[in-house]
This record gives sequence, C-alpha cells and structure tokens, in this order.
Amino acid sequence: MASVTFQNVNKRFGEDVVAVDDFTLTVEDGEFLILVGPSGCGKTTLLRMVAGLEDVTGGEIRIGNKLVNDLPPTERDIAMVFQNYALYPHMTVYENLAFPLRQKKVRKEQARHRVTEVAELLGIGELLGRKPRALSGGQRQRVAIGRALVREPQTFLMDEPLSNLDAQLRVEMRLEIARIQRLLGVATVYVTHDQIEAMTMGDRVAVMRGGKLQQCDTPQDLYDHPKNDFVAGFMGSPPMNLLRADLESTDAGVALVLGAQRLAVPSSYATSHHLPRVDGPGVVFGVRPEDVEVRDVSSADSLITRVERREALGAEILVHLSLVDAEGDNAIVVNDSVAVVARPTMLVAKMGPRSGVSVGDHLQVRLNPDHFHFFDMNSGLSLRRGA
Amino acid sequence: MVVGNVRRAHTVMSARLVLLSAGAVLMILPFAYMLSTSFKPNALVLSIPPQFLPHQVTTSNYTQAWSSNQFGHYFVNSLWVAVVTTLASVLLSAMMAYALARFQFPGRTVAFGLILVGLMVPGLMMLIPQFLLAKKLLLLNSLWGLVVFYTGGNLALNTFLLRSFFQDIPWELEEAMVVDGGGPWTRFWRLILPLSRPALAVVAIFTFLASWDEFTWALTIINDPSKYTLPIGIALFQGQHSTSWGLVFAASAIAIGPVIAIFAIFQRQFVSGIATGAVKA
Ligand SMILES: Nc1ncnc2c1ncn2[C@@H]1O[C@H](COP(=O)(O)OP(=O)(O)OP(=O)(O)O)[C@@H](O)[C@H]1O
Ligand SMILES: [Mg+2]
Repeated sequence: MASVTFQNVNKRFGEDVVAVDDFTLTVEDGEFLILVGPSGCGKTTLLRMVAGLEDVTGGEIRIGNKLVNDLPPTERDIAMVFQNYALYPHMTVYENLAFPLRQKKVRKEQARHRVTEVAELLGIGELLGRKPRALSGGQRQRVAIGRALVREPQTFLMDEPLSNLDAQLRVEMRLEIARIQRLLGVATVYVTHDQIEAMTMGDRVAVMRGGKLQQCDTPQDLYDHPKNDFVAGFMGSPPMNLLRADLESTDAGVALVLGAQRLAVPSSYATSHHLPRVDGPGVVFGVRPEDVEVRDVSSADSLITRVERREALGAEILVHLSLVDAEGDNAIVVNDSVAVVARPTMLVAKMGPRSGVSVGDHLQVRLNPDHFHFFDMNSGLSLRRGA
Repeated sequence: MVVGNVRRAHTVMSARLVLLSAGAVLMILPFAYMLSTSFKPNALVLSIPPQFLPHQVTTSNYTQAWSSNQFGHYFVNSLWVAVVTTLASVLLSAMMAYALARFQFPGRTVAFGLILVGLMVPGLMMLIPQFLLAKKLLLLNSLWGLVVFYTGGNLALNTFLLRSFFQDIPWELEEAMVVDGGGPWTRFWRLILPLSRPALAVVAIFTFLASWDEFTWALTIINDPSKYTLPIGIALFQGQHSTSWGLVFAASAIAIGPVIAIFAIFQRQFVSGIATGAVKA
C-alpha cells in the first residue's frame, strides 16, 4: 500500500496531441481520489501511465517512494478496472476473478475463498461458472470490478467502473466499492462522469480539463469554492449559472449590471474578493441554481425573469429563466461573444416539486447574496481572496 | 408480389442446390470410385463396363496392402513425422507470429518481409539447396530430416496466417493481463493461444496434411526402406506389383484415415465468436 505522486507529468501522443499537461498531484496512501473532467481531457491516459500501459513523456510518477516511470507494468502491483471491461473471454467468471491471484501465487484455497467473497459482495456469485459472453453489460462490469477488488494491490485504478449499471445497482456498488476501499486502505484513483459519485465517494475530487489539473479539493470545498469558472460550471447538476456582468457603483455600493437590471453586491464581497474597478472589464458572476429563490415582491436584491422552460425531475423542478427588462417583455442580450457562458441571459433555478410555475410566467427571483461567486473576465480564475 | 418473390427465391435456391450438387458429385466421384475399387477383387478392377458398386465385395486388398512390404511400418513413420512436424511447426510459428504481431523490435519489418519471400519461392526450387544443407546437418536418410525440413517449409505460411489472427485479438485484453501481473509468456500461453484455437486448428490441419502427403523430399533423402513414409510406400505398389490398382487404392484409403481423424478432432475448435463479450463494443 502506497501513495501515488504525479510530479509535472506530461503525456504527448505524436507531436500535436497533449493528453496530459504538467500534472502535479499526490494521492495519499489510503486516499480515495475522484478524477473528473470532460470527455477527452486525459483521465484514462493518466490512469494508464500509472499502470505503466503508457509511457510518460515528461515528469515523474511515484508509487510510494519508488519512481516507476520505467518500471514494467507487471512489477507495479496495480489493480485496474478498464473502461471497456477487458474480461478474458475464454475464462469463466471464476477464472477471470482468480487470475490475478494465480499470478501472485496465492494458494488455491485462499484464492477460492477470496473470489467467492468478492463475487458475493458484487452480486455475481451465481455467475461464477459462466463465460463473459453469457453475461449482461452490467454483470460484465461487475466482474471487471471484482477482478480488481480480489487483490490487495498498491493502488486501485478505476475507469468509470459503474457507467453501465442501472440506478439502483449503482447506489449499491458505490457503497460497496467505497467500503472495500476503506477496508483495504489502498490509494485509489476513480474516474467518473457521475456527479453523485464525484461528490459522495471520494476524499478529494480532482477536476481536469484539456490535460491540465484545474483543482483538487474535498467535494464540499470544490463545490463551495471553485477555483475557476470551469470547475464552477463542471461540478453540480445542473451546473452553476455563470453570467458576464459589468460592475456599476450605486448609492448603496457596487451593483452588477445584468441587462437593464441591477443586482446589489453585498459590501462584504468587496473585502473577501478582488473585485475589479467599476469601470473595469467586468466579471463572470456565478450563482448556483439552488441559490435562485422565487420571491413574491420586488426588492433591491431580486431580478425580474420569465419562465422559458420547465423540467420536472420528480423531487425538484428545474426552471430556465430569462432576464427581462423593466416592462417585462424582451429578453435582453447582456453580452455577446461569451466563451464561458452558453446562455448569457439565462438562469437555471432549482425549485420545489410543488411550485406551480409554468412557461411564460413572470417571476421575481432573489439570488442568495451569501453565495455569490466572482471570476475574472479573462482568466476565469476565482476572485476570492486566498483562493 | 410476395408470392412472386417467394417463387423467385425458390428458383434461386433450386439452381443453387443443383450447382452445388454437381460440384459435390464431381469432387466425390473419383474418391468414391477409389473406395469401390479398393473393395473389388483384382480381376474385376478394370472390367468393362466399370462397376461402381462391385458385384463381389472383398477386403483382401486391405489385408494384403497392410501386410505387404512393411506397409504398417511406413504408416507409423508417416504418423510420427506428421505429428512431430505439426506440433513443432504450429508452436514455432505461433511464437514467431506473436512476436511479429505484438512486439516492437528492430528488424521486425525485415523479418516479416523475409517470411513473405519464403512464401513465394516454390518448394521444388529449394530441393537441391535443401539437400546440400541436410547433408551438412547429417539429416540425410533420417526421419528427423523430414521433420526439420517439413517444419521449416510450413513455418512461413503458418506464421503469416497466425500473425494476422493475433493482430485482431483486442490489445486491451493483453493490457488487462499485464496489469494483473502477466508477462509475455503468460500472455502467450494463457491468452493468445487459447483465444486462437480456430486459427491454430486450421494451421495444424494444413501442416499435418502437407507433411502427411509429402512425396518429393521424402523420396530425395530417404534410401533406407525401413524409413519410408506412406506416399513412398504407396508409390511402391505401382511398379512392384505391375500396378494392382485394388492394392494401391486400398493403401490410399488407409492413408486417408488419419486425415479424416485430424479433421474430426480439430473441427470442434472452429467455434465462432470466441472473443465476444471481452470488451465493450
Ligand atoms: N493512443 C493515442 N494516440 C493519440 N491520441 C490519443 C491516444 N490515446 C488518447 N489520445 C488522446 O488523448 C486525449 C485524452 O484521452 P483520454 O482517453 O485520456 O480521455 P478521457 O479523459 O479518458 O476521456 P473519456 O471521458 O471520454 O474516457 C484525447 O484527446 C485522445 O484523443
Ligand atoms: Mg476515458
């Protein structure tokens, strides 16, 4: 059991493709690290470098204190769940699970014990005699997980191990994997596209984009204090609302200019954040959907909006709102040519399941002033002091 | 409309059946005639009109063929040579194919090119150089001389076939095995070979047939009658007994036995889709 350290790790494919770019991070011994990022950002490549399936172009990878850049994969003692399962087709489920143990010369009896134990945990105990081709996608995926979990390796690498399971099975497996990982205390890197897995399973979450590490923090820190607009927009479902806005000074202090409307910025942000000058370049303003609240009366901290779309998700309703001008008619373009903001005049609000809004309604919404986020207009970096 | 289609389909199907049957008859007829002749008493072999079903059935050709001039001994020689050749050639070519399919090493392309050249040179052209080589290696007049050169002769084609088969085995499977601690040998024995059973079966059959049937090289290097193989043995019947066709055909029929057995044994390996379910499509 050991930590995994990435020191300025680079990976290029050929001349042009930079899959991993100057990646530095330490996964502590026993830590469960979640790795997230958009498709193609280099997550799989990073795991493959740890496993030794891909050469490291630059930088150092250490397992424990040992530099493994040039260590053959068979000597790294790593267990990996592949994104596409990679089960041995000619072996039964039992033989698949027992294979890594056999390679490690574990005694037959002990191996049998371990395999049946893991198979029971993953709910595939009935399938031990079958070949992979006689399994459903979800069953195959569980066998793939099992093949990693039977071992007690230095490190677990899991590449979207639950992607093919139904919702209920996911919940169970999530708990099971997390439990086994705690039990074994093995450093784990776990890739997922699932927000719930990202928020609940790991000790820390690392967010990647374009091969670069954006931020690595505890899930709550990441959620509450994203370092940049990308992380803010990536974590959370639905993601944080991001709007480009100019700043304006008013009698009461500073306000955000959102089309024809103004939104007061509490004075505390002037001290907690490096807000730009009022005649400066403006900011990217962020607020999470759960911090958009419907109000009955108009006030200084509320906006007038129109309901454009309504998505009932059962436990909650997502309401897509557009900002309107004082007369309550036209949606106003706040700012065109915006890179980070897909719909500059749109806000998504999360509402209770019984709120009877319908498309076309005009709503007063209050943005919870305790949870404003400000990012630099150009770099996208958080303007929070000490961030 | 639908009825017309059905009728057309019927016509097409019938035409196909007729053609295939004609082809099959053409293929089987000489074989059947050989078999029937092998059961005829010698007097009736060349009777006119020819009898397809012999009026008089006898197995005396078989007993005579088997017991005359060490025929059983030739049979055993041939079997030994063919089996050892098949084992050696399949194993060696599988190893070569694995290296060529999966490993990066200097000279890989050149090595593969040489193998392809080996495929193109006709065997007869090699007769004299091979003879000189065999002489140097003290392999003349020995069954090992047959095994060594048969093995070598089959290597190129086998390697070529197996290499392309190995290349289609998903690379992810090897990676999985690498991570599970499997080195190249483990992967070869426990992944590549088991997954290639259909291809190995084909290659084994080819090799067995080729070495079982081979005549020219055997005739060239074997002088000692105790080391004759079956093709030579059968040829002997022709001159020696002023070609008693019943005997020749009975001997040939016996010689076909192991070939049929080999087909029967390996046929079970042709299971299609053995690799399905390995990786997510
Ligand atoms: N063998 C390769 N040759 C060239 N480019 C590659 C190779 N493998 C990966 N890449 C590129 O490297 C980048 C990172 O790929 P990677 O598979 O690590 O992404 P990922 O984050 O795992 O994506 P996903 O979430 O879709 O699985 C991609 O742009 C991909 O096209
Ligand atoms: Mg991936």
